[in-house]
Amino acid sequence: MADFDVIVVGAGPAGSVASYLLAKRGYTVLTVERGKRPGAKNMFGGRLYSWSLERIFPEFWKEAPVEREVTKEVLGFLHGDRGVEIRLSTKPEGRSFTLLRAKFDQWLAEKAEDAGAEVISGFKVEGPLIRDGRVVGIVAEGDEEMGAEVVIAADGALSFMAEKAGLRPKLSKEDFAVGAKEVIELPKEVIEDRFGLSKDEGAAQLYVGDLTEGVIGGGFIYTNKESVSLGVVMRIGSLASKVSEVSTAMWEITEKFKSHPMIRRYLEGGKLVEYSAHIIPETQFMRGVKLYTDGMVVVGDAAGFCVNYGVTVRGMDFAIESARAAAEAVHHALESGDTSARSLSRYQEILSKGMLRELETARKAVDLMEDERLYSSIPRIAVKTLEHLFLVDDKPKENLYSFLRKELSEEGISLLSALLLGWKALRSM
Amino acid sequence: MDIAVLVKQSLDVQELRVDQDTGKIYIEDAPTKAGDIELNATEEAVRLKEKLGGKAIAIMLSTWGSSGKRQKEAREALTRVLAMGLDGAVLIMGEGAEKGDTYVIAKVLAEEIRDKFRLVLAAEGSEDNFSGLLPARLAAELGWPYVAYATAIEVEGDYVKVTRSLEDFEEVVKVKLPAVISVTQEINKPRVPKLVEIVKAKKKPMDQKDFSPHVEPKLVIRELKVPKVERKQIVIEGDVEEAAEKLIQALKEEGVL
Ligand SMILES: Cc1cc2nc3c(=O)[nH]c(=O)nc-3n(C[C@H](O)[C@H](O)[C@H](O)COP(=O)(O)OP(=O)(O)OC[C@H]3O[C@@H](n4cnc5c(N)ncnc54)[C@H](O)[C@@H]3O)c2cc1C
Repeated sequence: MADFDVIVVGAGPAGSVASYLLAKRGYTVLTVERGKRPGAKNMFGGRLYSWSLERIFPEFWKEAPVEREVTKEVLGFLHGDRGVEIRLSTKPEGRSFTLLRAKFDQWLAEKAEDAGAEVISGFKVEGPLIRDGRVVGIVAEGDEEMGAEVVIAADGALSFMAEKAGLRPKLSKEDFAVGAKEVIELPKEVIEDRFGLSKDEGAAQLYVGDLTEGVIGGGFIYTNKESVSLGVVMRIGSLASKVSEVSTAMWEITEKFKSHPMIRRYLEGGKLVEYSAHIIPETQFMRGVKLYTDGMVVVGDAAGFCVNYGVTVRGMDFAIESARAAAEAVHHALESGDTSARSLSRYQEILSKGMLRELETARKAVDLMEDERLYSSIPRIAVKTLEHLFLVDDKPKENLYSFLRKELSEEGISLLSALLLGWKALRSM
Repeated sequence: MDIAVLVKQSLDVQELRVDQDTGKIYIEDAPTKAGDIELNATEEAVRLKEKLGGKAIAIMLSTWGSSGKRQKEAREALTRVLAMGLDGAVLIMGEGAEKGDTYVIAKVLAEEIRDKFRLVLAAEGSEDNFSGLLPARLAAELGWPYVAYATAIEVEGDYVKVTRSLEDFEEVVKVKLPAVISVTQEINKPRVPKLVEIVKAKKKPMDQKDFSPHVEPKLVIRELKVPKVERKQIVIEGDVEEAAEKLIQALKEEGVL
């Protein structure tokens, strides 16, 4: 008999949710996390869409350490030291929340522990334990073997578990983008005042423009209770040959973003308390991951359930939903005593009825946004057009139509393709 | 022979956040863990126990508050030393313990230890305060001999032979049991517990007791503050070579180079 019914590798949202659901059903679950504590080193931009976690913990935000409910969505175009912001205000309905991973991941892991899972931190898993072509457990650091009926790989975007089990190819430079993020502390009232928020409400602000020098990507700001999460996401994985170059470039762009007059005013007097960076695998790569094999399933980022929209990344909600589906399939497999790939294929079946469709829609939107002009020409034209509309000087004003035509032709864009681009941008939002 | 190991719940000083402007130290936010030298004391206790039989028990008196978070951390720290091979743990925690000085803590620990153990092992100093006072105070409280800075320990019948590493020479002393000994990091290399040992450690007995001293502390900490570092704010100008030259000069003047 194996040491545990289930071993879960990684205590991010995917791992903790899978651990929680299976421990609650009475299975013996061991969750192994590399970080000192769950969430200790985990980063993300800043917003969790609620739908999937709500299925597990209804109205979780009343109990979970979330920061603010997002009710203000801002899309910004930056050009030089000028900028345009478009703001959407919505009613609070529990749709999405900003949060900080260190606290949130720990809360989820505690949920799993309270349900009976053994969560052990500070331990790295080297890979799956494979016997006769099937996964029968894990190999932990120090070459220690531990057996399980089923292993759940929830070890994030780089997933060595999936790679070593032959479920995904090795990641190469071309397959990823990079995200960098800072947490800047500001008093609660200052945040609410500057971002125009009432108590407990939050803002999600995205910016594109010449900031990224033509590279697909941009900057983001999410408001927390007493800090803002600010950062940039860029497709520079393929451009840079060295890690040090990437991190210098990311740092420079982040500084540039922070010092833009429109952004600076949000941050004045703030205190930098945290800096982190993380890779983001690209959609094309993530599409190629297989989800299960004999004795193992892959969930969350490890399975490629993450979408890079250019400026923002979305994956927490998919991680949680995939863990729910996996727990369901693993439960059936354990109950029937058959943990073969065939039995575990139920996981993919459950997903294809729901989440995979949503994911595919999101991925298609991303494909549409591949157009680099969305990140350079469009922001520039937006800023210039509004300037043209609003600024008055001693020169006679051209009419808007001929102004736009001229601007577009300077960018080398025909009116038709401008309309198409606009349509694409709208569809993908 | 039963051995008690004093395991302090130390602040993880690497994760201690401070505000240079106001001098504030964010103690509540900092996580805690078992101190590193306590791992050496644990290792030594486990080795002695393996040789001589008997039990080795961790005793932790938590002084960084008694919130749920601190309780969880304390249990995790104890799980870690239990996984190294100790047989059980006692966790003393409660309101007021954060104000306890070594005088109060030694009294409380002495009560816990007096009739149950023959040998107490401790770290030469804790990782966060490093006052190094507690083992001596505890020994005084118990009326037992105390040997500090041990780099080797050997039990010979009713006696214990301790090697102490001093600045220029080594000293070997022999004391009668029961005794209190503090160890240095040179004494051994603590084993790294395996996953399976951590899993098992979670099932070992852990006794939680309330902190209830009969005495008042003699030492009161009024405030904890970061020492202020004044910046010199020298700006060096000129082209690269010139600036480098000036920088080297300035560093020499400051005695850095
Ligand atoms: C810059 C950036 C911004 C983002 N912004 C958002 C956002 O705003 N909203 C959103 O929904 N998503 C966002 N994401 C995506 C989101 O972070 C991920 O989709 C999500 O974290 C996936 O959860 P997971 O549990 O699958 O993996 P992770 O959260 O990566 O967790 C994996 C866990 O496994 C552990 N682990 C890894 N290897 C091992 C090992 N060998 N042994 C033991 N443990 C191991 C890790 O320490 C980690 O705790 C962002 C990502 C990035 C990089």
